[in-house]
Amino acid sequence: MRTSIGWLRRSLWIGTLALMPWSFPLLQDTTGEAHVQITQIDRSRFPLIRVYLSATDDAGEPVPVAQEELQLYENGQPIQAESVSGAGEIGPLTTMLAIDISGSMAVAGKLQAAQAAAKAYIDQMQPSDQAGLIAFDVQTDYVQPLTSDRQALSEAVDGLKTRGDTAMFDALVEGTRLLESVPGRKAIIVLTDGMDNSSTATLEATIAQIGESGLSISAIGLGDSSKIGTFAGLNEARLESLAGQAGGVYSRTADAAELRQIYERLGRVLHSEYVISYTTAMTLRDGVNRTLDVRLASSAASASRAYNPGGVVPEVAQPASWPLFGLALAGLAALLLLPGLFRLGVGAARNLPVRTRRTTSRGKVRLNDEARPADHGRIRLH
Amino acid sequence: MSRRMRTYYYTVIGAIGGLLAWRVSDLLGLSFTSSLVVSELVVGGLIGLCIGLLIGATEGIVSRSPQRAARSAIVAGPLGLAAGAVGLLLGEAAFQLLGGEAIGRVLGWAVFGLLIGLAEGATGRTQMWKGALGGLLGGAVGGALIEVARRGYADPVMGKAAGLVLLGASVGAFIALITVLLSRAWLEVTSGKLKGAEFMLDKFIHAGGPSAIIGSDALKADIALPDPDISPQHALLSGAGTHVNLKDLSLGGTYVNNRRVEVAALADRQRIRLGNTELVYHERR
Repeated sequence: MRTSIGWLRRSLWIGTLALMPWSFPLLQDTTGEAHVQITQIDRSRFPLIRVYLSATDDAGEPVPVAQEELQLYENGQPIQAESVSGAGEIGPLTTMLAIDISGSMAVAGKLQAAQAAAKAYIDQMQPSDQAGLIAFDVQTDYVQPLTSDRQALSEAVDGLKTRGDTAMFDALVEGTRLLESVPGRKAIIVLTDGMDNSSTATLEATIAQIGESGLSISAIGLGDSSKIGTFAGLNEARLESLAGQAGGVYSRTADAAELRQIYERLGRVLHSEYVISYTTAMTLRDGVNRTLDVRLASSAASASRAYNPGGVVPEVAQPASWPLFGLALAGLAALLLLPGLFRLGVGAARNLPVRTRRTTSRGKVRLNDEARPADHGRIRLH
Repeated sequence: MSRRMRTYYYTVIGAIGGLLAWRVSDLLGLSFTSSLVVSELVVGGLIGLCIGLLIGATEGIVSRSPQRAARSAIVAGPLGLAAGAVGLLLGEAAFQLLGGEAIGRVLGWAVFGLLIGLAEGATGRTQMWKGALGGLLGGAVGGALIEVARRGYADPVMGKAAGLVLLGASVGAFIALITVLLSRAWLEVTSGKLKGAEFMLDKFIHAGGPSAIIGSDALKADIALPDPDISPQHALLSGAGTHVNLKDLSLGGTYVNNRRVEVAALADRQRIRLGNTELVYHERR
């Protein structure tokens, strides 16, 4: 009995040790300094804000961070978080896989490599996760609506065939729209091998399309970046800018095996994110941008992103005051009556010459009066 | 009512609409709902109702016809309500798409103004596209003024009040300005109670389009002239594409350049006399 209790104690101790890095996550990692990124800001339940964060090493792999290490500031003021959820606790993840099926993807087995990599990503999905598939050339096809069914997703990926030119931003705008009503952590992973030469939407329009609940867009460039400007080349600056502005990461490869690793790494990072929930002290929708800064207490790592609470009519703290309203109404009513009063004034001024004439006539009367003494005089003479 | 005065009245009455909108939008209480969509629909509807109703009634107010003002207000009010509700929702979407701040405010309110102007064009004597263009410009300028007022006043209450008053004024001013500046045909009253008033005829100059009745009955006539010697429906103005025809409907007679006419094709600067009121027809080709 004593032996079995001792074995149980030892097992528990070993088990606890094994779980230590996750139960008491540490910032230190073996591959260098940690990088933090704000991947998604969900303000759909404003003034409750949910900020999703990723912490990665130089190689882009997720690193564990102690929750108390995460410091969040809104407009420079430290935020008291209501809850911080750690790696694997942020709830179901929804991913939209957007894959370029333009004609050039048929060259050098690129599409096959993309299909294998996408399927590897699907394989590592958690049971509660969802994913959908968008294929784009000049038009966007919503090949597989959001589902948790990994088999259906893999079959949809297998069915992809190449055709036409590239209109990536149109596909991303469509992907963003499709994810708009989905709650929780959402991500689009887009793979392309060429320049966007057919979109009606732009990078700016794509970023602008991201709604209140937010999402991140990660981009993967497949091909040779030295051929910029040609059909086969990649516009890396554009893809990097897109991912940077949309809380995602940009990766590039010309190798099928590495492509698979990129997808798998993106999956790992997404599943290792943190979410900080807090109620903002600035509860009014005043339409003014607010800056969120996240810092790691024991490191120089920090990240910054802005959000806008909305409020094209700026919301104010106090209700409108009746005296002010009355005063302003009286002022405007006076302005309304002013032309009428002015016209009366002008009318009166126009009448002035008439009065002058009367005065003159009075003068004449006076003159007559003055003449009277003469008459009287005459009378007297008579 | 000279063209300048017409713009002045539209501006002041628009400002009163904005002021009412400011007071009414607070009646529900602040942050009465956590849903931004519901909030924008309700607040936008109320702002649209106040500004739309007053701008709609302005035509009647400036032509001193209370019945016309009331009738236009009854139609323009609900249209303003609907336009404001949809307009502010779309405005908020535009505001958020542009990341808020000044440019978002300008474009957001431009969308709102566009729909208010469209509603005004549907009810007033303004053509719809002119109303929409005026509303768009007025909303854009109003949005910029809201941002200026918000930043300029240390007290946010004052900032919001000034902002909405300026928005209403701007929407009113631009709707009137666009109507006046782009007007191709109008009647100027040169004698009688309404001396100086101008009636825009742009809506009535197209062949096959609506006709305008000139008369003394404020409800039965499109151009109401308060003169006991004018019949309730005295004459009819109808567009013929290249010109406007005037048709006499009265017993008292209609005179063009002092000659009694049954039907006359009007030319620029011709004098029209009905009862004791004289009008001058203006045309800009």
